[in-house]
Amino acid sequence: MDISTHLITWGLVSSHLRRQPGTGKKFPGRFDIDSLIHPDAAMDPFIFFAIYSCMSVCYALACMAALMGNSRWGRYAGGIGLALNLLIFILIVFSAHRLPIFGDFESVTTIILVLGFLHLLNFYCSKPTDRRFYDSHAKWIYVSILLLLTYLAFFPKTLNPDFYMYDDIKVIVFFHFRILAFGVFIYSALILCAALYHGFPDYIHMGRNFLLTGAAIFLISEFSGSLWCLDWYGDFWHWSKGFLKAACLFLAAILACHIPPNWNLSNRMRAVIGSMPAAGSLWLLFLH
Amino acid sequence: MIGVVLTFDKHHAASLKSLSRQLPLTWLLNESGSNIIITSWFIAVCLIACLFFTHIVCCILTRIYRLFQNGFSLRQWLFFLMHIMFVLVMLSHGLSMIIGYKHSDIRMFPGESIRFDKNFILSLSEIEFVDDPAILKASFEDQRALMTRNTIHRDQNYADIDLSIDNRSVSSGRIYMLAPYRFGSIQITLTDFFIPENRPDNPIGVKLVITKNPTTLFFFVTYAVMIISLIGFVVTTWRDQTANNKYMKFI
Repeated sequence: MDISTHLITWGLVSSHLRRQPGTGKKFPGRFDIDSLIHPDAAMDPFIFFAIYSCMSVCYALACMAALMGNSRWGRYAGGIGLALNLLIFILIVFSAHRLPIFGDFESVTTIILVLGFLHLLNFYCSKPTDRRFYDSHAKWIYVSILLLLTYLAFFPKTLNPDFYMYDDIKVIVFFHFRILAFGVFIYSALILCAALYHGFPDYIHMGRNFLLTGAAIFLISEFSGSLWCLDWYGDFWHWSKGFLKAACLFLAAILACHIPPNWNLSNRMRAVIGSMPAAGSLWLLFLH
Repeated sequence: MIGVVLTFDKHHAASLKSLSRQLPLTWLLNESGSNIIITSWFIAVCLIACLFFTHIVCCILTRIYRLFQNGFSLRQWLFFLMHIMFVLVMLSHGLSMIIGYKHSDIRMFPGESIRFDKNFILSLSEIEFVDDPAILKASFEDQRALMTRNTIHRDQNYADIDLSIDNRSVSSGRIYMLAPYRFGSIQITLTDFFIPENRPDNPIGVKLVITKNPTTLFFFVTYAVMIISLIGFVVTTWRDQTANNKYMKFI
């Protein structure tokens, strides 16, 4: 191997050995059975790193297969990647005693789970005449998943530090449904882009369905967040960065649903406007 | 978006924090002169929200109402209901900014009382904090790491309060973190435990917020109905391609 490969390998391996954010302490303990049930026990990050690596390989193969037009092998590889992703989700739940909520690793793996799951679900629930669209759509999905996995390569595969409010259902629903909404918004944007790029205008309706679904899930998250804010700060609204960003995202979602028909926008502009909630989701995810 | 950008500046962020600590109307009347940029931004947001509100009401009365000309179906009702509820959510949100009151950052120790809303007296009789008090002395950043579900027991740390009107006790109760005390539309919220720096005996005090907001229940009920009607609308129009043209031109 040449020196650049050494450096890249070291960068990826060391990212998972990085100190746990927020404490300055090294991640404790090796994996043992007690770590599955003890609330304070930490999952060895190498477990997450190993599963993440296998998942990345599977999704990379799925992406290659989709780009080469072999959609069946793409679905098989994507299915295995989805199963590994689900394993990460289950391990997060068992080790942290809560649903995934925040932080790069938990958020991105959950969003990838949503994308992979919705793609396969839509494919296998669709009519045979729709399969041509979903085969074209697969390229967008797996390329997006690979980009997210690449982003995650530079961050530690560790869980968000625990906080005493994570035993409250309102807090968990707020954070978890927010990540789910981001995943659905991104999925909706990918459907719109695929529909307009590959010449399937009938599938704009499917993009619209998922955009509205994402909006509903996001509103559930915000509803729970407002309840949390009411019980913690005495008021259901706060003039802070988090609340203002959420309002921006919600406005982007409703704007995409209310463009006047007499504007006669081009297909490209429609895809751009319909993708605004997804862009807002990425903004909230990466820059919060 | 401009508001988000403003939060990156410390001076503006402090003004926004001050805005959050009290009723916005109170802030506008008392403190708006201290930061012209935030004041201008806030007034612009309110004006745009009013325009938005007026626009939605006019759309409901003109375009959406026309949907009922061809008979009433479930999806039409849900579509109509969703928009009505959104209007009501905006209305209650706007009213919450001008009616009632909000007193934040009230620091109290056991045995102390404060007067608010002319006749009410809030008395604090006892504080119980079972966890390690050293956590309360840590810096804000360190506290975020130290306050885990194992080190802070929300259900065992509390403050006992008594509410009286004209020196007559009307109600008493116990408040915990994320479990405020409510008396009608008055809410007394425990936001934090603290130890003052300049006291050698290290007494533990509580930070409270007293709010009165008659629109809270109405806000959450209309919010919930709006979400349910949106979900219902999505479900009933999932397969209907013509919904794209009938209800709105989607993108």
